[in-house]
Amino acid sequence: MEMVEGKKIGGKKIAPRPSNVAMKTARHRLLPLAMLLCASPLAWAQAFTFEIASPVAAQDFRVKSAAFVFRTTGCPEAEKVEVSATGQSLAGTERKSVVLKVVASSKPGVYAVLQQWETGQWIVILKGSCGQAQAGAIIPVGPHGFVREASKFYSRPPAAAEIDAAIKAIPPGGYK
Amino acid sequence: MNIRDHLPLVQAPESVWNAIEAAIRQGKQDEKRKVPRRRVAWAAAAAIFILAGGVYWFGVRQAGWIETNGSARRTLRIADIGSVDMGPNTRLRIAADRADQHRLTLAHGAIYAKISAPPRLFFVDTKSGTAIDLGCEYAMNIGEDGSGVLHVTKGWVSFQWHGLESLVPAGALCRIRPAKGPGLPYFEDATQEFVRAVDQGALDSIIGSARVRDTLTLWHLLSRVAPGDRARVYDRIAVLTPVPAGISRGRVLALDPETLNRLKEELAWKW
Repeated sequence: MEMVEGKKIGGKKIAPRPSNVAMKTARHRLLPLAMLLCASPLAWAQAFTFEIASPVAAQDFRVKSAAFVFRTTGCPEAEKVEVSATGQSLAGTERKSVVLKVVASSKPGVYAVLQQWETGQWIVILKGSCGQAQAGAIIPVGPHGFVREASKFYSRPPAAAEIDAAIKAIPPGGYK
Repeated sequence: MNIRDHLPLVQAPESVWNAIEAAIRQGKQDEKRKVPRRRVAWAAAAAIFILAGGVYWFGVRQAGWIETNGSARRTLRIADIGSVDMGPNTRLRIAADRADQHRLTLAHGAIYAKISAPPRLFFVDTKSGTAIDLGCEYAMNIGEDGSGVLHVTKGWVSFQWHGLESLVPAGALCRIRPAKGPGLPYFEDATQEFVRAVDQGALDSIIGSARVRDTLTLWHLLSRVAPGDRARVYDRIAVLTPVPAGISRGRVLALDPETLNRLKEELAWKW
């Protein structure tokens, strides 16, 4: 079939080739958009953060009694990940703080925070780093485990004011 | 010198020979009588052996069953891997107690198992299927008709019946149905509407009322609904929580075991 631009041939209309001006305009508009689209997943992939779950997510019977398990996402070099956990509570006016042991589960990159604190209302502060990238989280823990809805995640270690606010946000009588 | 060489030779009286012959005849008759006695003894031994075998067989079977009455409770140690608390009116039997397998048969009643061992080491058989420990603590009750409930408090339990499997994580429960095996598992904090829909097997209501945590139930539905409904279930999961990259919709709908397992492991991070 003979190709003739902008004409109807054989029952099909062939669109005319756009002019150079139109092409340039389109390039100007599409290039930033394409770069944004390409850059966005990269940016998301590089967002280093914590993810928490019930101990069942670890698929490891040794951590079944943990308060919760967590993993980090967004670190391209898993061996560079460093994590730590601290427990804090407020009994009356007295603030208590405990360094918590983080247990590595059988799944790479999945850790468990075992309940190592006295009864009462506690929050667990997670801090993590992956090279220069940092992440943090505040996880309230009640008698039945962690409280997902009240948990907060940051792209840096939680600030002291944010920790205070989380402790004060514990409802009277504690999380159920 | 021997004194016997100096003694005179004397003929024995006739009466002595008669007495000796009579004694020999009597001895032969006694030997003939001993044969039936031996046979009787062997027969008696065989009878005792068979009887003992029968008593042992019935005795072991009966002794293997452990029962509690209406008010009693009892705790069984399961080697060094945990314990099983028996509730009142419970009847069970230890079917195997080996290093590689600890197996109970629960005829009826209620148990609470606390096991700390690698998966697939502790089993409880019931009329309606087998509970397989995957590193867990759970409560299970079974009626005499085989109906019951499995409620997991820590870890995971797999309940299997003729190829049908329910994987029940901590905080979830699963109904056990006679001649049908395990029902769909769901979390104990599910809404009444959702639980009703699950009990009735109402697919539209299950899909419509599911929350993020109810993807546990939806995941099980994938392999239980008709192929034509599978996409609806998967799409609802995908709406409730982002499906991680690398999990192919097509492979899920084709029920690829590896993909399904990966999907379940990812969904568990939202439960």
